[in-house]
Order: sequence, then structure tokens, then C-alpha cells
Amino acid sequence: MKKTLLFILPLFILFLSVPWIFSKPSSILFYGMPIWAVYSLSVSFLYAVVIFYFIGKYWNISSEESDT
Amino acid sequence: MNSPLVSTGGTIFIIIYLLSLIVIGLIGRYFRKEESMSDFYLAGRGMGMFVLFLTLYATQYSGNTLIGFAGKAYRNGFTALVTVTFMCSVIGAYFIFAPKLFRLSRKYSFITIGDFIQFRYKSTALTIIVSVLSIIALVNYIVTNLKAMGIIIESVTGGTVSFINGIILLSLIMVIYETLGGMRSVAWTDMIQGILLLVGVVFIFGLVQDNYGGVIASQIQSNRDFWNPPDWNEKRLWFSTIIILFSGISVYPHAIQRIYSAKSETTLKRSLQIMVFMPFVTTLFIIFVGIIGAVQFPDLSTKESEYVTLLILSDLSEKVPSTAPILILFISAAIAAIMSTVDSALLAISSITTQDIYRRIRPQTNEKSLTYFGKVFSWVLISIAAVFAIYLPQTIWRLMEIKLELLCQIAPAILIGIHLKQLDKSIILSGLTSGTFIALLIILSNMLGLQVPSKPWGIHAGVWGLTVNCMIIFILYQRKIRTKP
Repeated sequence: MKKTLLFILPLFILFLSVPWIFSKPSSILFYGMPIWAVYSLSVSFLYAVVIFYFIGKYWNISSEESDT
Repeated sequence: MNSPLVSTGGTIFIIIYLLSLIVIGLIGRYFRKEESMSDFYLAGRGMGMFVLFLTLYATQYSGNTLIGFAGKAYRNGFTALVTVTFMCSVIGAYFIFAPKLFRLSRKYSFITIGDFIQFRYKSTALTIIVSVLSIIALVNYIVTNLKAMGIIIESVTGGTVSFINGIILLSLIMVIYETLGGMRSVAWTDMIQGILLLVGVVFIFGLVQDNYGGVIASQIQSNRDFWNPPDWNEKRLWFSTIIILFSGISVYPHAIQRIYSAKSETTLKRSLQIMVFMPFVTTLFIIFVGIIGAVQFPDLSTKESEYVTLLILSDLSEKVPSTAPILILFISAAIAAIMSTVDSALLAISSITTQDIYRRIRPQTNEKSLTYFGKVFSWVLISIAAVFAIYLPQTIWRLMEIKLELLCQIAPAILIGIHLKQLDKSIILSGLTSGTFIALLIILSNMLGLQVPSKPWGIHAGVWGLTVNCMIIFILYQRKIRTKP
């Protein structure tokens, strides 16, 4: 179960990295980038941090036998 | 004929760099431990962290990164940021299967992706289908990168070395050092190429920021709609791109061979942990360069947009002559990126053909003869790929997508199959053939001019295929575990 969660959670973050909630042009800019682009980049960075942590912490769980 | 992008000194630097690759090939040959498939194709399974990280980096970031991604950013603006996400996502896919695959590869001496498939499913038919799909995808990969190579060489020399001759010349250098030292030479050249690539990208980004005012200035100057959020069709395409690259790039046969080549589990872990952050200092920088290029050089055609990075650097070296060395560095990095990708793909195809196909036809052949066959095959293959690269018209981005439409169909056999013991060959085979059929049906219908879009409802043909593939696997798997006594 834990293994399934470890694999599903990063996929969910990837789904969130798409700027689904942004539909109208915005005047809010960050470093010349539109807010939706900043959002997508931030979620991608979050994904990278999560994967970095999972590889370090749960490598052995990923390599275990399972059939669930 | 246009004027050359680099000076005589720069040309000499690039020639020395190219010749040094052949010297590395010779050194790799000198350091071989035995005349075996494992030594030739996996460098004796002894890659330390530094070499492994750089070879993974140089292999995954290719001509597509420097040429194709910049061109995509030029044409599509910030929606090209999807490239950053999908390059990160690949490492997430490795987290799913690399830990277990590494242990199995050590225990059962895997050399190719087919070795795992054969071990896991005990099916020669499935192994051959996976091998053939891998070969088709990798040939496409090589063609994509050879095209990028031709573009760069022609631009650098101002047409003195033509697109065609550039492809032939660099293909020749690659196949020489690859057949001399196998994976050892390829990994060592990848080290140089990886460093050049990283340094080159960082420098060009800094330079462009400094001279053109970066993205902020581009935003002020531009009246294009790059800054508008994607519409629903583009959002679906965005997610579809992540799925296809997550499942396609992660099962690149040459990347899997690098998992096998790691010296230890710790080496592999550490390399992947660094790799997950590399898109933020490679892909992202190139996207910015492409966007700035769109503002500085508007109205380029689709083909011309793939030259945008070179156009920027050329413009810069004219305005600020002191930046000329950066131009040479970038060109070397671009050539390095392409060569490191092509040589790895070439080695992977050679190993798949030798180990998964030729060895099964002639099982009595000894290791030395198999290695010799693999080397000869590399020469034949690069010749065919060079001809395709010269004559196929598609853009680099489109060629890359077509390759992944097929390759992603084998992902369930690895990502899911490695964890579910009860998933047998008939289930995987049913999913794989159905998924590949659907993907090919859409691609070919579109190519033949039928009323079928290449991406129905903004979703790649490969993702439609993968969805069918996974659904069939799920249904058959559920039926199997329910009927189990």
C-alpha cells in the first residue's frame, strides 16, 4: 500500500504541474514570467524535491517484492 | 553562402575536440578488461558516481534540448516550460523501477532491456517485439540528433561544410570511437560532453540575460501572446506531453543500460538525485533563450526557428566581439550533446540487435564474435540513419514525438511488470500490441492525409495507445486474480 502511494503521489504532482486553473491573461508577472508559468515551474520544482527525498528515503521499499 | 559563425581559432578548437574523442576511443580500448559483451556494452559494470551522472546527463540532454527545445520555445512561448516538467518526471519514473531492476541486473547479468523482458515474462515473442520497438524508436532518435548536427555544422561553417557533409563527418567520428571502446569510450566522452553542455548552457543563459535584458525586457518589448495561459486544448496537450515523455524517455534502452552499468546501488541513487534537478539549469535556461530569441528575431519560419540559439549567439558575437569564445563553447556543447546521445543510442541498438536477436538466432556464437557482429552492425546502422537524417523533412520536435509514441508502449511491461508478479506475458502482449496498433493507426492515418488529427482531442497518438494498453492490462489482470483458485 505504501509503495503504491509512493508511486501515485508524484504522478498526482505531475498532474498539478499543468496550469489547469489559469484561463485568463494576468498582469501579475514574476521576473518577467506570467503567474501561470511561475506556478507550473514551482510545482515542477516541488516534484523534483519529492523525488529527491523518495529516492533517498524509500529506495529499498521500491525494490521490494510486491503483488498488490 | 553565409559567413562562418566562428573564427579560425574556434574552428581549430572544435577540430581538436572532435579528434580528442577518437583518442578517448583508443584509451577506452586500451582499458578493456576482456573481450565480452558485458565489458563492451556496460563498461564492466563499474561506473562510479561522477561518470554515471555525467553520462546520464549527457545522454538525456541532447540536440533536442539545445536545438529542438529552443525552437519550441520560440514558436510556443512559455508553454514550452512543459519540457522542464517532463525532464524531471523521467527521474520519477526511474524511482518506480530502477531500484529493483538494478538488483535483478546484478543477479542475472542483464545487458539489454530485452534481457529483463525475457527473464520476467519468459517469452521470446515479447522480447523480440520490445527489441524491435526499441530499435525503431532509437533509429528515430539518432535521425533526430543527426539532423540537429547537420544544422549546427552548416551554420558554424557558413555553409563551407554542408548539412549533408556535417552529418557524414560527425557520424564517422562517433562510430569510430564507439567501436573502439564500446560503453567505456562512450561514457568517458560523455563526461567531457556533459561538462561542456552544462557550462555552455549556463554561460549562454548568462550572456543573453546580460545583453538582451532577459525575460523581463522581452516581456516589455513583445506584443506576442506568449504570456497568455494555454487554452484547454493546449493544457491537454501539455499533460499528454508529460505522460508520453514520462513513460517514453524512462525506458530508453540506452538509459536502462546505464542503470545496469552503475558500480553500486549508492552510485545510482546519488546520480538520480542530482539528475532530478538538472532541468532547472539546462532545459529552463534554453527555454528562456528561445523566448528571448522570439522577441529579438521575430517572423522566423518553423525550420528557421530551430536555428534561433545560433542566431542569438551570432548576433552577440558581432555586437560584443569578446563573447566569441562563448559562441565556440556553445557550439562545442551542442555538438557534444548530440554526439553523446547518438553514440549511446547507437551502442544500445547494437547491443539489442546482437544480444536479443542475433544471439537467439545463433546461440552457439561466442562472446568475441558477438561483439564483432555488434561493431559491424553499428557501421551499417549509422550509414542508414545518416541517409534518413539527410532526406526526412520533419522538424526535430515532431520526430522526437513520433519516436516516443512507440517507445512508451513498452513502459507498462517494465514499470508495472517489475512489481506485479502475476502479470504474465499474455496480458502484457495483449496490452502492448493493442496500444501499438492504436498509436500506429492514428499516426499513419494522419500521415496518409485521412481526416485524423495527429493528436486527437489534443492528446498524442502514443498516449491514446498507452491508455488502451493499460486498460487491457488492468482488465485482464483483474480477471486473472479473480479467477485464481
